[in-house]
Amino acid sequence: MEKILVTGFEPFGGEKTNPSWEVVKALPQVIVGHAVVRECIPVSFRRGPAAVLEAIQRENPSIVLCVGQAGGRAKVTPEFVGINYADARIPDNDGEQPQATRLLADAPDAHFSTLPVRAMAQAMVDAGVPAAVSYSAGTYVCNAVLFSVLDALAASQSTARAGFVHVPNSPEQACHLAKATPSMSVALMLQGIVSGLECVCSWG
Amino acid sequence: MSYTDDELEEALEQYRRGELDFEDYKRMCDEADREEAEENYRRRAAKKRGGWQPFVSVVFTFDR
Repeated sequence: MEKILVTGFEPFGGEKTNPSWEVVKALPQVIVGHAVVRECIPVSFRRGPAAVLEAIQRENPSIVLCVGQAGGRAKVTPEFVGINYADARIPDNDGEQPQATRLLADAPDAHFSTLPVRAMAQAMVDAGVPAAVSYSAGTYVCNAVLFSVLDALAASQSTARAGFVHVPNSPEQACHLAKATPSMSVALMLQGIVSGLECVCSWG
Repeated sequence: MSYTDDELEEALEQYRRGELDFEDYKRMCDEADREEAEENYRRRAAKKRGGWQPFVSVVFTFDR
């Protein structure tokens, strides 16, 4: 059975939970004939990408979907592109805070997601989940993971397809934030991620 | 493991049919995840100590 590797992040920035891992934990065991393999990865510029690449080597998935939290967004957003750039507003969970720097010296400026992001967003909307394609994965660890994974797969000429989806804050998080922040229930996020993955699995 | 993959799959179907609250399904996932994390921790700790034996099975045979 082919595998889908789905990753979520541990909490960061003083939060107790991270909705990306909450939703990944709740995924079904099988989606359209693909076994779902989950991995919780650290919010670390060094260890985050390494953890995904290690899981790819171990599991040899045909599809890789990394899920991350984007506070302030109101929709589930498949990411169009990962850029070779890091500029951290806050330190990662290792205390590192790279600023205005390239992620990988000899790599291209950007890599496009190899998942059908427009179709994924439409599938999510069709399932009743607010969703839209995003053209910026930011400059924090999420983007670092997306870019590093796409670069590694491209360099190894792997046939595996990979991409990233951001999810909003959960209501539990939003309740404790000082400023008004959009949120989405983990149950609705789950519907969105499953619909997106069903779309990827059914995509030629 | 407290819940098998099949049990979690069945719970997800129950949630989708409206027979189970999402929070109850999520609690099952959390518990399974916690056990897996503890298992991984034990595995790593044992590896550091120089060995890992996942199961120790002892069979007793009694002569009557």
